Amino acid sequence: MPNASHYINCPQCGNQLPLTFQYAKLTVCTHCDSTLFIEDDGVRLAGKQSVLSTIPSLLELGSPFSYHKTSFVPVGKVRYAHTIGYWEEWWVIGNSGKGFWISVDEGDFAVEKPLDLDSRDVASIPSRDDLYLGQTITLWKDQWQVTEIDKGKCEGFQGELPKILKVDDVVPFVHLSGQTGQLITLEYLDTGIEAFQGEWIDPFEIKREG
Amino acid sequence: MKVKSIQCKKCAAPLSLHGGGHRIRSLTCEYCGAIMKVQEDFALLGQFKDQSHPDCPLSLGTQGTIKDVLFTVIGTVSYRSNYGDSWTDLHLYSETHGYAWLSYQLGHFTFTRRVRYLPSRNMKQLSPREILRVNDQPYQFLEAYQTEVIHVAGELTWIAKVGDTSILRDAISPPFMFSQEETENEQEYHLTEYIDPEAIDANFELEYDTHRSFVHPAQPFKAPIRKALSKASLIPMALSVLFMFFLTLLNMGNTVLSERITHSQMTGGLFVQDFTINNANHLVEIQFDNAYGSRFQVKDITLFDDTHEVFTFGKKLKVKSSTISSQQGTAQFKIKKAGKYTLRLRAITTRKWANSDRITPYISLTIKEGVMNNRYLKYLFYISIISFLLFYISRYFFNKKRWE
Repeated sequence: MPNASHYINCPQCGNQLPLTFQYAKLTVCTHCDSTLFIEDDGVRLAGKQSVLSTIPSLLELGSPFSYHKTSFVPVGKVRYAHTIGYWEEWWVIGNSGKGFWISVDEGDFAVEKPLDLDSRDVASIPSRDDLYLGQTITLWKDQWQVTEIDKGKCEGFQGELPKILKVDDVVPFVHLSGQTGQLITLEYLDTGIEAFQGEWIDPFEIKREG
Repeated sequence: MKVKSIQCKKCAAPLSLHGGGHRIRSLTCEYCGAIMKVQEDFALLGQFKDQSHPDCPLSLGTQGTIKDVLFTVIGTVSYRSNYGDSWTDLHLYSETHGYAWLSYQLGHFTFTRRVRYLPSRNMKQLSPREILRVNDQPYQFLEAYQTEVIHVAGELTWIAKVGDTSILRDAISPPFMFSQEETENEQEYHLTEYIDPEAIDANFELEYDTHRSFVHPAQPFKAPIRKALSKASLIPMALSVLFMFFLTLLNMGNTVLSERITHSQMTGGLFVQDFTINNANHLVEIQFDNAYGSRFQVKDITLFDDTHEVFTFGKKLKVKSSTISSQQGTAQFKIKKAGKYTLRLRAITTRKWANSDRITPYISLTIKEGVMNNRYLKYLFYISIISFLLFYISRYFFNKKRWE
């Protein structure tokens, strides 16, 4: 298991929960499955959620793995349903303490890191309604092709996450693909646009450690 | 993995769904060729008629491990190229690693998966053997060809139709092959790795003839015994060269007799000379050179001890043709003991010496003692060279077949 940076107690059952990620915003009690929002002044109980069914995966919460000589530890995951199935987003912490999202969709693995967008960056992102499949757009000086436009509905989550989520939350998103395997995900949320940039990774290069 | 069964919408045959994920688009009846749209409650899309079943040892639903990952065969697509050869792609699904293909062609298996990286050069513009880089590895462009779907069965992530065509461009770096597949609407890249048929045999619990009748472009050259022999032969090769070098230095021996035998030194065609051998531990060497074959012909060189013949050049000196212009010979032999010996050289005069001849013809003859023979070292060197080259020669011919 990864080293905990600090601990909190579940307000529902009193279970001591180690937090690996310093800036975790949400965690799920491993004992009573209560969802806990972690706020500056304490922990707030956000209700209970049904336990996510176990599906086979190369990644496992708390089990470190390496990819291209860098070690990661999955500390949280979210499962989304979309038009024809589901996919999972794993929140993993790298060697440096930085967090990344790894999308896993039937063997397609992509790693992305959240982008810090200023108002100019946000202004340069086209609205979702202006985008269509196959369209080539220029974003932040690079050319990207629109390869997916869909919505994901949150089916549940486990572990520590860097943002507040609720079951049944709907996330409209657009995937942009670059020429050499890079990709950008744009999430069009009620609170604003969030962007993530990363690349496809080969699942055969993911090595479980220990 | 859950296996669900449905009835074919056309022929009512029981069909198994082997659990391909949510990307599965079509299910094709392996009996009647009916195509059903999976995401529209298996609505009938059409039917492949008169499909010829391809030869493949794996069938739908077969499970096995490749690179330590469990895969299930969920669908098959057979292709024929514009060169006339055909093969079967088995569509694989793993719950952890997603989709991949296992291709079978006349005893060869290759494992293929989609990759997102691009080649360093435009594959459309490459000629055979031109180099391109893929994921920092050098590849050689192999060929471009057109494929046509000739048989479909089971679950696929797209809706395949018999007669669908695409252009494939392959580049090789055995055991890998990098391919560009171009259809009407898209361009995809795949990485293929050659899989040892014995590994498929064991991991999929099959029993089939693993004989391969041709060299697959991605097939690595494997000759572990010849490779080991090649490596191992470097030691005797180096040692034999080293010892031959030292022996050449030591091989000088001591000259016990050195003569330039002219016609005038012979009596009745015989030259007789005594000499002494002091060293009987090593070989004695007789070396002669008759550069004037048109005047002399050496018929016999014999060595005697007190009473017996010890050595003779004998038959080696027989002249088969009167046009021979020179005679040379070296012989090494062992003697039992040191002591006094007699040399007898017998020669005939083929043309008499004339007063007008400015040069007096002669036969050079040298006898050395204490000579060491490197004949066996030479044999060892030749065997080592053959052993060393065997691997590289086999690999050369193997690679030649790869490009045929």
